[in-house]
Amino acid sequence: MTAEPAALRVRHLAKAYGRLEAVQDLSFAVHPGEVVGLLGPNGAGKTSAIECIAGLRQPDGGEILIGGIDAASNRRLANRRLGIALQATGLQDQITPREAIHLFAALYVVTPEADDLLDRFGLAAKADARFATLSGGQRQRLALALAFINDPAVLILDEPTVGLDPAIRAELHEHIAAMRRDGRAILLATHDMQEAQALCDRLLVIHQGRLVAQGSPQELIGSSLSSAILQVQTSAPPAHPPLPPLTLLSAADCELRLEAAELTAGLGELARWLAAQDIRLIDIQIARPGLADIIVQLTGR
Amino acid sequence: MRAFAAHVGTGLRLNLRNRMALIYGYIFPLLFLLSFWIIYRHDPVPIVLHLGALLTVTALGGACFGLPTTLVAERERGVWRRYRATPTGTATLVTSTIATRTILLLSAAALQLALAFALGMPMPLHPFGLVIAFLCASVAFLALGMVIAGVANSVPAVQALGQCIFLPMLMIGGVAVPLQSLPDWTLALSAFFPGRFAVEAIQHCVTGAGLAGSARPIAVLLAMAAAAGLAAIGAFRWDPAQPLPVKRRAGWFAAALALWFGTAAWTLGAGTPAPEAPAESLTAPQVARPTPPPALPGLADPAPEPEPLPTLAATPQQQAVQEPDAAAPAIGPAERWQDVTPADFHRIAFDRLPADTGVVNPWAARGEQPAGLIADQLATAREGLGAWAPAQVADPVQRTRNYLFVAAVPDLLQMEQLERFLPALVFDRLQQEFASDDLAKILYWIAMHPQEGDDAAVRQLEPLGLPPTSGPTRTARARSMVYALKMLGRLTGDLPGSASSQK
Repeated sequence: MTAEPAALRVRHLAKAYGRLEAVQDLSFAVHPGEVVGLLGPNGAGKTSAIECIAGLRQPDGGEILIGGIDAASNRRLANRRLGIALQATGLQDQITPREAIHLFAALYVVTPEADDLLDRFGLAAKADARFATLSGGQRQRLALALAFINDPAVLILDEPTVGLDPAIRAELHEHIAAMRRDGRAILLATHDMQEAQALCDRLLVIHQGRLVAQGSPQELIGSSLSSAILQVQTSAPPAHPPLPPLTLLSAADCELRLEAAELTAGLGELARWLAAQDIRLIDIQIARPGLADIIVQLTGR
Repeated sequence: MRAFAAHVGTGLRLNLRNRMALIYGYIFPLLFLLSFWIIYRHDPVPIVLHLGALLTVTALGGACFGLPTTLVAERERGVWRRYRATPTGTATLVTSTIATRTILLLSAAALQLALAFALGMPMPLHPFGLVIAFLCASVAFLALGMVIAGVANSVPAVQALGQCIFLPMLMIGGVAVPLQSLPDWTLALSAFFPGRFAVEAIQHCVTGAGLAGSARPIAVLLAMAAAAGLAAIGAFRWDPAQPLPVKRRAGWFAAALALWFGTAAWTLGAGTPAPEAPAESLTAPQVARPTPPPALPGLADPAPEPEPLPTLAATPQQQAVQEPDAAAPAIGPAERWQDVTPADFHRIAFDRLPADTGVVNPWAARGEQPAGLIADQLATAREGLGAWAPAQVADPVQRTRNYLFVAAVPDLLQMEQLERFLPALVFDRLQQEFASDDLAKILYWIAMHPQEGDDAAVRQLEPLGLPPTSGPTRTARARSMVYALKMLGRLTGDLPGSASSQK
């Protein structure tokens, strides 16, 4: 009663295609004013999860609550509160953005504020141009405008910027950030790490249909923040392995790869270890793992 | 309701903007109409008897191609996936799609009718019934179009599947090619396709008894619409990636098949005892009506479906002897051919017989010489007639009837000009065998009793170098009747333009 209810809550979602279990036991929540990123390699189950939430597929199990409404038993009501921009939204070649907005306003049974929406998503100049003549960026902006048409509490955006050039991507990111400031709950599927890091408050990493990690971008990076990879070149190959917190990952003559569980102590041990063997340090590079490395690490790819 | 209206409105607007859709939806039906007009230019009223076929082709084209092409293209692009994420239900979106298409079909039909009127077609006898019949046909075809849209994965697949339904229905389903000129098994086959019933229902409203006479074809259309509708529900997909849910919706498909086969079996069994009588309406009131249009449509009609038959089945006096003066009594009740009097002849509207230059019951002009091969065939026929068994029959009426078949059957078979010369050959022969007075009475008698007597001669034409046929003899009798009247007109000099050709 006291806790603010999640705008979108998914519990134990499961979806299988034949023997392929696309989504297994997936649970998470998205709160108002929060952008949650759904991350994972292609085929991880992102799209299946999103399609189940959007009502495009029938889940095999689990529960989806949209603004507290059970989507399975009340799909239409749930859809009223849901805004959605699917990956590469296609519309009829002959339709214009203004007509599309009027059509979808009628399908959502809302009064369209077509000019507002067109202005807001930078489509005023193209309002009466046919869809076939719109650029990729304009099409995605139209998709976002349609996602917005019913003033939804929950937005689901599936790879909204895929295939767009950086300037347009930055512009769309600004739109998404503005939606978040409005207090909407946003679920964003992406496999673009920069996008995830820039936009998301929280990340869900899924792999083979399962949730393998979650947290803020900083938390996910921070969980392995203390460790570092050392690329070292020495004057001679070492005769025996180093002591903790240093681990020798690989050695090819004088090229060594070492992992330092803690960087400061690791560097001290490196100096001691090489001096004891009378080996000189010729070059050293220190690499911190990024989000991409963490995903690879988590998903084993 | 707002969603429904908006979806219909958008669908119509987008269709008007789509050049290909306009060509297929509007230009093609007009071209079809013009080609029919050219083919039947010699008929007294070239289009009116084919309007059933023409409007059916329009509805069929829009339903087999227009609807599924648009729907599948939208589905491939993800438009329907996006629709699905809205609060608007499936039923609304599907019914609004069908409503859109129905409006498009009605407008195409209206345009087609407008051109037909411009070309001189008279008003249909039952305009309101025509709208109803066309709507029923449209719904049946559109439901079929929804099945195509469900089954086809891509637009090219729609084209392929659509052709698989469109062409057979046109060619052997009784739409563009009359069932009379097809083998009997096609009649059984055509009972499975709605095309034939659409032609029948629409034609009844144009030249026939209207909805009252077409209750059965309309019932069949609606039953087939329901069957296709069930199958369409089973085959409906939002997403091109989703496979056709055959197993999951087996119930829908089973129900659809059961209804479909049931309907076809009912048509084949209940109302249609013999393949020769595909139509139930044996009154052909169009001929007896005082309305201006077709004079002897039943006779003039070489083509579609059951109309020619009623003319023969109904009381022939009423029809063939249609008097411009509607108050005139029906023809005198002569009991034997010998009792026929010249006064009877004058009741015949010779000016309404099909033209000698037409496709139906043609007659070569007097001085016209047959080309080489045709001349040989004519010589063979002339020699053959001397020993031809049906020409030895004692009864003068039956013998004359047999002779008439020699002209009538090749006319039905459309034998490369030969059929234009045979009537004169037969006429010469008859004039050699009978006195003119008697011959006139006999010809009149045959024309007034087209269903009487034996028609075995139809199958005995081989000795004359003519192809044997086993087809329905109904039409051969109809053509014989017209030739009998044309010969009578030549004898009496009443046939327009024949005064010079009579003896």
